[in-house]
Amino acid sequence: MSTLTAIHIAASGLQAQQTAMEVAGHNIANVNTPGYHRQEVVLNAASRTPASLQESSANSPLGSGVEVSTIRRLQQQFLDRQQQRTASQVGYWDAMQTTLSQAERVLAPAADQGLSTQLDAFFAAWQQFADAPEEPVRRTQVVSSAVQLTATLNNNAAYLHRMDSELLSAEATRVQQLNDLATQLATLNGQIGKAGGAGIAANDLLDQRDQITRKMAGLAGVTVAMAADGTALVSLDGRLLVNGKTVHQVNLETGSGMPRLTWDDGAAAKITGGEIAGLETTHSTVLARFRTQYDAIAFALSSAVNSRHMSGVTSSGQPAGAFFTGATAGTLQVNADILADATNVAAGSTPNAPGDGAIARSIAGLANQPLIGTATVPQSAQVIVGQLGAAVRQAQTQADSHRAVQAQVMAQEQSVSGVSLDEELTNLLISQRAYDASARVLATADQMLQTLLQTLQ
Amino acid sequence: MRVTNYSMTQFIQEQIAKTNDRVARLQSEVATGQRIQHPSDDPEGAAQAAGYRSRLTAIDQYTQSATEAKGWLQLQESTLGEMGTALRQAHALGLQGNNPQSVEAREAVAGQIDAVRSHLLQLANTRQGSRYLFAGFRTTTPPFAESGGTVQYAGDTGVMTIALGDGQAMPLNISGAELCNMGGAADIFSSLSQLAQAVRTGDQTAIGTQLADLEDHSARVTAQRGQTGIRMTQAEMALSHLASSRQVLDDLLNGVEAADLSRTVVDLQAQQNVLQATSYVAMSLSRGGLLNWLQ
Repeated sequence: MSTLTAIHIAASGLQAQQTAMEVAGHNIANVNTPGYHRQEVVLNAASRTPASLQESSANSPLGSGVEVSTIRRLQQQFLDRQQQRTASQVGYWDAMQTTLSQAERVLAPAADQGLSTQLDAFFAAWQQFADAPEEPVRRTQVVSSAVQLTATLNNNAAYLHRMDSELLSAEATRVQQLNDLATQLATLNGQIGKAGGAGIAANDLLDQRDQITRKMAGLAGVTVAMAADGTALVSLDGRLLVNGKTVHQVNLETGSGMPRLTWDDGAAAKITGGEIAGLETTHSTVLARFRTQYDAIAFALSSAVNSRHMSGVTSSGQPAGAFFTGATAGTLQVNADILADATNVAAGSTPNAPGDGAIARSIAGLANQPLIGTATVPQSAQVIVGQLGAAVRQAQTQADSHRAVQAQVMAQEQSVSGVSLDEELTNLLISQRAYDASARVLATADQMLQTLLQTLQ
Repeated sequence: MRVTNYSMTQFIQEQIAKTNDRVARLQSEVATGQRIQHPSDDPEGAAQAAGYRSRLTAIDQYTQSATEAKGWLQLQESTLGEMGTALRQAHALGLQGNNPQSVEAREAVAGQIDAVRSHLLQLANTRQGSRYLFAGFRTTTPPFAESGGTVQYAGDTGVMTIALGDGQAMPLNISGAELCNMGGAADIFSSLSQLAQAVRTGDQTAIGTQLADLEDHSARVTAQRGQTGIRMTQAEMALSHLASSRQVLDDLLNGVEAADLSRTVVDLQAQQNVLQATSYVAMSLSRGGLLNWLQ
């Protein structure tokens, strides 16, 4: 063994420890970076003799110091896949919860102000009117309670209509985000492939890749597969969205009729998970159901009240007209003639009989008639409250439970990939001591060389 | 398990957020006294509560109707009572005039009979508020009007009803036509004027006939009064039934909706303690760590 060899060994130690310190520094710098995976230096005892010394010590059992074999990224593949799955679920239920609990605040406000209460007040006003149809106050009470009722129905219908277009535009924005992310991922795939080809471990690019695929899963519930070279293959409903550097975009066509998702070649696309699907389901299934129910209430009211009302006579003995105009939740109105003059409300069917409240009584009795299937009108308003509450409740529970799973997976992932400052500081200390020691070896070898040179003088 | 700085702070953050959410929820429960703030807090309960509230509105309505009906029936009952008394008085006067007397004495009796007749006419035009009791549906115009010595009925035979419950309607009024036998062989008023006439002329046969008619009228009024009494009882029974239904529904609604205040306050205190403890732990997190010990 030569003194020169000792110098080489010491130098390799210095280099390796320095790399270890750099990696620790990188880790510490990224302690708060989302999606960062801890990196670790893998050191190897160098068994092969460097080429320059090959001749002199070809058969030596001695190693020649240390080498950095790789800088490892600590990651567990199956946790990543779980992250994508939960991101998709959380995205779906979160989107639903946000929109539905907003709808709940509007459609089912404080317990005594909703549609159900308005209906009760409407029928009670008719009942009171029937008791004493001569009283002008009771007549106007019928009209004003009906105006409040139609206003509530109109507002609810208008709100649902507005939600429709808001949800649609939110969906369009998300689809655009999905396409943007797909393009970013394709670029990243290119860089990762290139780095791999050059033999460089592209750890930080892989972090970015995982962040992007997770976001895509949260948006659209995509499936992600990793190729051997570290590039990501993203598919949606069995078709590839990102394949290496190639991107197939998805578009939301909102032109005419029902909005639909298509691939860039025109085929229909289907998104079944993530935020986009959550918005879509809220819009086309849940809220649509409530719109139908409000329309059913409006139709039942207008047809049943009108047919009874029109068999009566006004205060002046003329045949009464329709009480309501319009037959959907959005269009139901109190007849303009009645709004203009409350004496056009019919109380009874006998002309010149101000005490006759038979028609009013039979309209009041509609509160207990099964006008919508087997349900009365007030009952179906109560059912809406229950169903709306249940839908919000389900979305809340699901979102909460998937968030809990997400937190769990995140904690597991952190335990593998997260940065612990204590640990990094310890590593830093160890590297520093090893660096000091290698420097001491170098100094000693240098002294030995000096001693040798002095002897030869 | 390997614990990292990020997972520690993340965990504390989540816990604080969760506890804050619970505290806010409990606070609004205490503030409003309601267990259900939004239907999603208890969807089934919220739908039930809406149903109970709907029933309560209906019950309040029926209670109001029944109370009004009671007022009407009370007045009707006392009016009919007075009419009965007046008819009996006329009958007695008829008997008194049925003896051979001086012209002056007969005239005095006949005058009293006329006074009873006009009292009866007044009673027949009794109003409750602005509504005439015995006018059928034509409640806004006086049903009985005298012109040229005869009384005409201007009302109709409509029977108003009052709802005391779902599909439970009770007839309220008595039409004046029926009560005073208007359009019959002899109405109350013509019987009385004929009686007065017979007394004046001393026509004993006619007096006898009219007295018999008066007995019929009297019987009719008494029968109607009895009927009115029955309806009053009906309204009262309905009122007490409505009151007890209201009680039951109130209890049900409270059971579904009302917050158990003592329990909620204890829960709130517990959650606030948790929040305090968590904040303390969060504070100590930043003090720990190797970094503070390395120079």
